[in-house]
Amino acid sequence: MAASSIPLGKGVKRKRHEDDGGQAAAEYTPQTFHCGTLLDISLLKLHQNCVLAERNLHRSVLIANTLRRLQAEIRWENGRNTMPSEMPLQPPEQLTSGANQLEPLSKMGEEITDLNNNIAKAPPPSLIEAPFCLLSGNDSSLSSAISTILQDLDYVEDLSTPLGQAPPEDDHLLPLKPVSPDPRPEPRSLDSIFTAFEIADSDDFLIDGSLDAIFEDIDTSMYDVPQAFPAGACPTIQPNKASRGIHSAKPHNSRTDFELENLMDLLVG
Amino acid sequence: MEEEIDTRKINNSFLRDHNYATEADIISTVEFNNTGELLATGDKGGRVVIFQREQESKNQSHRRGEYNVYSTFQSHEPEFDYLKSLEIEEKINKIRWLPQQNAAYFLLSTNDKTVKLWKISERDKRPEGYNLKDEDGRIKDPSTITTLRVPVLRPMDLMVEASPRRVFANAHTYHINSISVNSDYETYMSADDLRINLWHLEITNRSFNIVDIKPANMEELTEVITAAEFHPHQCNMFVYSSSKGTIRLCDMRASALCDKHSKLFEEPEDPSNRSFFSEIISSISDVKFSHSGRYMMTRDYLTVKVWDLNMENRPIETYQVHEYLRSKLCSLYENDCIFDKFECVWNGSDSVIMTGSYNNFFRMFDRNTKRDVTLEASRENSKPRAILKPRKVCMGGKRKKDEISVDSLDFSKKILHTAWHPSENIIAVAATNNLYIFQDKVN
Repeated sequence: MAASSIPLGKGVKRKRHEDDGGQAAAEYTPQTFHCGTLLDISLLKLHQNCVLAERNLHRSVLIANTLRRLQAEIRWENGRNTMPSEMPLQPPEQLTSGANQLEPLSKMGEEITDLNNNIAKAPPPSLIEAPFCLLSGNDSSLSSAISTILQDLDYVEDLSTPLGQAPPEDDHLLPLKPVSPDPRPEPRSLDSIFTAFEIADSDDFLIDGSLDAIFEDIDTSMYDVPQAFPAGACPTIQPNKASRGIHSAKPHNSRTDFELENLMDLLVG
Repeated sequence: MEEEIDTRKINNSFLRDHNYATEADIISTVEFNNTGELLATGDKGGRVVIFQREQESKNQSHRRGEYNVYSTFQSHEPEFDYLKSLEIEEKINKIRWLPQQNAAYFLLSTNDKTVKLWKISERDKRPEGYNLKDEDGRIKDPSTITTLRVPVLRPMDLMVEASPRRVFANAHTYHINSISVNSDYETYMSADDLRINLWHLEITNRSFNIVDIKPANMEELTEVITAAEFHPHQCNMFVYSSSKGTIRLCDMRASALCDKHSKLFEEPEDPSNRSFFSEIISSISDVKFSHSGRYMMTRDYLTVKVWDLNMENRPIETYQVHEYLRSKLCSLYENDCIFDKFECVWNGSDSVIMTGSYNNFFRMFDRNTKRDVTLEASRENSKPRAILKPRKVCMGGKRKKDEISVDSLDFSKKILHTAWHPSENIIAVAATNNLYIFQDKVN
């Protein structure tokens, strides 16, 4: 137990934003930075609580409520910030923004960062947006994360409720690769997470049969398993939920035409 | 107020020379019995240690009765729930004494899942002169017995025995946080995070569920039960507190399932103090009725509040325990201290309330004079028989002599459990694995 107080926010590494030369940092309100730190801490705590042998429902509920509050605050901040700013080509919730700034401790944060890394071919737009405005696009995933953790608590604690699930307690935040369920979340390399997303979602582009031929030699079998899910969806062990996650990350939510064209250029030419 | 230290420091630590304390020795509950003659402590290792007050003797009139170890027993053992693959901790969460009705003492002790009724009795005589057994206990050869005699009771060294009389198990899915004996002395209740069950002390295979706040869908869970207590005189009334800072008073006569409260005590949130942690620090960690039954006291992270049972919309008194921590809430959230559950106690006359804090500090508030004092329970800073010196925490700026600054506080030394003798000014303070007993100064 820490004997002395830890200064607020100083324990978290902040990455200097490469494209902007550090100007962006000054734009972030302390409040939103605070949000981000707290979000990471809370998610980590919630996960830790789940894998601990002694599961403390009281603690989990308090942390979950704090997370919901943070989520609401971020949503509100996001709504407030996107209104005055000029709209770039990308939709506001897809901006790279400060997701790169912080090194998130949670899996969820990493997925989002990587997703943004991929998109950021174009110079980043105005960085007045809150660091975690991207989370608003994955709002539902955060909610479903909290819900899933609470639900699994229910399963473990009270077998009388017919949930029909069979989750091990320590698999809440599984790594993206379904093949190696790790009890602890490992930091995933940016490339591997990004790759998983890209290929998994590339199926959506294959509407035209003529394009199939291009991808014939690419082995996507690993990523076609139902448990593979795109970045942003809550990683759960239930296949039905995971597939729902896939569907929820349809192009119209996470991609714009500009990005599609960009990707197509990459893949085809 | 002045307190003389009669430090009965009981250190169960295996390595006495070091500061290292075995985790099993961490005291998890402290409770005086109804007369104050006995003091029970439970620890993380599932043991119960009972202290008894010495009878005052004429030749030691300058020393009032001290507490000595009376009995030690293992109340709960660690268990493993094979079905759910979960360990069940043996830590004693609460001890509650039953009123004494004969020569034996009875107490209820509970861990996360099981409540046990223990009988503690003395044996100071033993029968001698059996016909069929000889003095060693071996069976005699019946052919050698020629006469009959009646065994007689002869005095022996006092032996204190603890035996489990009832085991109340398998009634709680979640972790039990409170038990409370009813004033009818026949029933008691046990509360876990989501449910409260009513038991009869004689019946172990059945309990009645009287409160259930579990939502149909666990995703909607936002509130848990944190403490519960029966009214000291009205056997139909009890209260339970929640993690959202509310207290509900329920009347068991209204319906079998007391999900609808009779009264809801809640103080509106102060908008100027709003933060992300508002809800966490409003979570009530302890609720205690006053001895009179007219008031109740609640402890949340930063304050102690006294409520009049006749007024639901706000407490009648609020005492700041360690307001200097309000600006440190983020750090305390990070290191989990914000989840610490402090208890609070009334003195016998309901005029003074006491609760613990960090750095082995504990605080007392006099409700009549509105004076408060901070004292420290530590070996280094006080000698036996010395009067405790009041402590002060300074927020910042210039630190006066003898003051301690907020940043120097040791958050690993927390006083969560305290107890006050039912009629005298004797208090028991549990500081991690040490128990301190303080008495009023005797002139």
